[in-house]
Amino acid sequence: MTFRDTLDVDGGPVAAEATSSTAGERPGSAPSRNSWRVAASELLRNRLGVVGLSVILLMVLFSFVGPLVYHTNQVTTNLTQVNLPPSARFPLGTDQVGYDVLGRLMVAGQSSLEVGLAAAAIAAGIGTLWGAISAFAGGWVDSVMMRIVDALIAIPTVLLVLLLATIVTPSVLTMIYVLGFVSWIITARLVRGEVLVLRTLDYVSASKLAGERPVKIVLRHVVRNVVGIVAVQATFEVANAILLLATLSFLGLGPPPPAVNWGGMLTTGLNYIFDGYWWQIYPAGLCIVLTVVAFNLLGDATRDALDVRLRRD
Amino acid sequence: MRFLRRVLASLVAICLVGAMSVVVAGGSASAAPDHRDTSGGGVLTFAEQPGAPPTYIFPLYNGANSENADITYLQPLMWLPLYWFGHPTSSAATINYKLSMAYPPVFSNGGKTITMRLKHFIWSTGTPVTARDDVFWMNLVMNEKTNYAGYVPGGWMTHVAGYSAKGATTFVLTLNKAYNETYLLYNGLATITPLPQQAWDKTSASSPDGTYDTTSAGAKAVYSYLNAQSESLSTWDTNPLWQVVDGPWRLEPTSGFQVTGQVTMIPNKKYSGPNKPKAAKFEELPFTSASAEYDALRSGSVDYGYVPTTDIGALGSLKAAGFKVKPWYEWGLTFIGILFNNPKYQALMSQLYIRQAMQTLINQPEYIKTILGNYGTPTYGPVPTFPKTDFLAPAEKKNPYPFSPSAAKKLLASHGWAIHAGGTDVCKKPGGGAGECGKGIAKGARLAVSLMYPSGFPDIDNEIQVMRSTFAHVGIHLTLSEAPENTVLSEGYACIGKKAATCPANTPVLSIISSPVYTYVPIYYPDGTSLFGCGGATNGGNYCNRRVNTYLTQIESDRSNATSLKTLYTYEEYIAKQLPDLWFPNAAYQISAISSNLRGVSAQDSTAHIYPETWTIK
Repeated sequence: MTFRDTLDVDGGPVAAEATSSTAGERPGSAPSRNSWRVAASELLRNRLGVVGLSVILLMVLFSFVGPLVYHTNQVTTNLTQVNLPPSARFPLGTDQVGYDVLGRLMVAGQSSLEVGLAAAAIAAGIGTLWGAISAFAGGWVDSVMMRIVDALIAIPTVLLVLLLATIVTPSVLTMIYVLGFVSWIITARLVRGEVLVLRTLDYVSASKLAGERPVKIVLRHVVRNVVGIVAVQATFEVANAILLLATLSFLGLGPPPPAVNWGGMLTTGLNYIFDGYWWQIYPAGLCIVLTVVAFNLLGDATRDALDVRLRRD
Repeated sequence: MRFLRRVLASLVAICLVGAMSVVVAGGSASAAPDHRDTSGGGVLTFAEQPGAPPTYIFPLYNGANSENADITYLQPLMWLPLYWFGHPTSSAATINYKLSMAYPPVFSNGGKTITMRLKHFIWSTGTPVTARDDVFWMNLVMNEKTNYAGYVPGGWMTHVAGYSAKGATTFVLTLNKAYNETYLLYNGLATITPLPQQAWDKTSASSPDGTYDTTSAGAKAVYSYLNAQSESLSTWDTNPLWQVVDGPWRLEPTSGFQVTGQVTMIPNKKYSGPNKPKAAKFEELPFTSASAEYDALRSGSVDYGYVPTTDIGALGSLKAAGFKVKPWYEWGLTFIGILFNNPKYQALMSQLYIRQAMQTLINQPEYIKTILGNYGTPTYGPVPTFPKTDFLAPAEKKNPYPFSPSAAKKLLASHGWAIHAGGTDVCKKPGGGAGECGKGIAKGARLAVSLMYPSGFPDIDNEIQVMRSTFAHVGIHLTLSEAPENTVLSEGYACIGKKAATCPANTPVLSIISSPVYTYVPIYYPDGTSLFGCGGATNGGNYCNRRVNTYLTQIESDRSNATSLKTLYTYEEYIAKQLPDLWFPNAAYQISAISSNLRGVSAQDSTAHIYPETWTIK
């Protein structure tokens, strides 16, 4: 762990972007295999983190393995069985065009999790590179890159997402790009703060003196040392992306049929709120809440595990 | 901090779900307060359609201002047309001479001269409505044709040879071409609306009332002034112009209109026509969403409202609360528009057998029964199947293409397509001969097209989902896209009048705006000239068939009503089978819920006119 006050290029303190290194590492080196083992062990000792991880695994199994066990037709509508309440045949009833709601939740979970994870991966990738390059390059490059980040932060995320969603044709793939594009900003700021410290360390200076190219230094020595902080932020971004997808679908800007996600199911179900079709509303809502909370719990636990100051022992 | 973050994250997720529920269930902050008034004859409250408040008060309106909120709920209550269409006691979309301001027109000079004699009506200023007021309307509309929604290029207005007032009560119109009398009455004379020339013939607020309308420049200046006043929504209830009316109602001075769309009308004490208002006030209430309106309805704030179609499962509680529930159907059509000049899909969609296959995959009776809750009517051709009308050909009363996936499959297979159920059919026999895919369709071409539909219409969303699934069964792949209604509308008209080479290939091949898509109001004759005629003003798909044009010309110009009607029947049968678009179920315009306290609503007019002067409140 390194924690020091330093000055950014504008002369302001960057204490808010407190830097942390992966647990158990020696300053100036990439995280060792041992340090990851310690972090994993610490994570598994965090009960809330384990709960979060378990719920996520459960949701992944539910969405991806569930359809292999619980067979339903999620391709063909069936108007002879619309809006049926839960029964032995349909444990969570049917929806307005005759789909089995339990089976639909599983398929919808695939989209929601895919979008959440992929968008978070894109955000982590862009954010890490942006923040690392900005901090490592310094000077006017850093100024320009960070002003872009500041400008994007000034725009409310939902507004930005809505704008982008109306420009592109909605599909699962475009949603991943749209949500990934709006989610990298915080990661970039965090990584920049970390790299501002890392770039002053001896091993980076040594690499420079040895004549290594800046790109190689960033990729080999700098990025590897911010993996921890990026991983923590990525878990939060997964939850945010799932929520944003739900919001877009709620507003009718999500992927159109036959694609389905929990937010879209919730929206459709809410149309029938006065008809008492609770099975079209609560299960989808519950899936969103559980998954988002689970990713947040995992994020918190991961941060605790990677941050020696927050260790229990 | 960690705990706080965890709690916050959980709260965000829970709040999202909760907020969604609140937004959908509540929808709007515009839920109306209790408008019950015990003074006088009581206050009638009527719900406007969600997000559709009145925007234009001047009866000479353009296409952009031709919503029901303006042209059927607002203007006709204050300014009556010469000939009234619709009835307070039935849903028939026919002429109503009892409510009309003029006696039946008399045709002479081989049908080129039409004489109309006015009944005794007076303006709220006390002066009688005269033929000069008809001339005033004609002067304005003839000089501002393109700003009037009832104008059809090449239609009767382009054949007006003259018009004049013969004395105070006789108005004479002369044409240089004879029309079928019924056609002219429904599409031409019905649009004439006497306007108060003595009060409105001015070019500015300070100009004295005059005869500016008698010159072209003057008429344009008068129109410009009146149009500007109409666009000033905040001054509607304080502007003395709009207080001069001949209908049963007028805006309550100083508080009769709010820019949010709330209208308050009081009886016109000088109204000289039939059905004098009995209530003290009539209020039209705006809502931003159907669910907001439904909340107001259930709370008793609305006497005459509607139920969102998604909530028809909950009608029992509404009926138990004393509401009468009645579907209200409009004199109109619902269809999925086909774009015939998309360069990429032109060859596919110009094949009648492909359109036939698609049509046989639309299960109209099932959609009506299951998705629309039986609140819908089928569409089989250009004339609505409801309300009952003599214009409907016997052949159009039956579905020419009943639902049959096997028939669709057979059609495609017999024209050289390799059927891939659940996938996408592929053309294996290109060419224009028998048993081949058709001219312009290459070997290996896939039977896949795009369909755009509006967001925010759960019924249409469900119908389209079912349709996509059914189409997929025989290998027709529909790529769906959802967009706001205005976007769908603009995409549907993106290639109107263009050659295929200039039409973007990504323009949706199929599109549907709403239900109904097209209403025969204010031009009531149901031949669909502007929809299906070559170059028609609303022919967004650019369908063009010379035989159709010949029929339309005969229908409109044949002086014999019997022969014209016979031609209309032939045309209907032909075009119903030609599929210039895909016929789709016509959902009820609204499922009305009428409070048991509200009396006098015996029927709902298919021309969407309302008759609050015949209603009373307990």
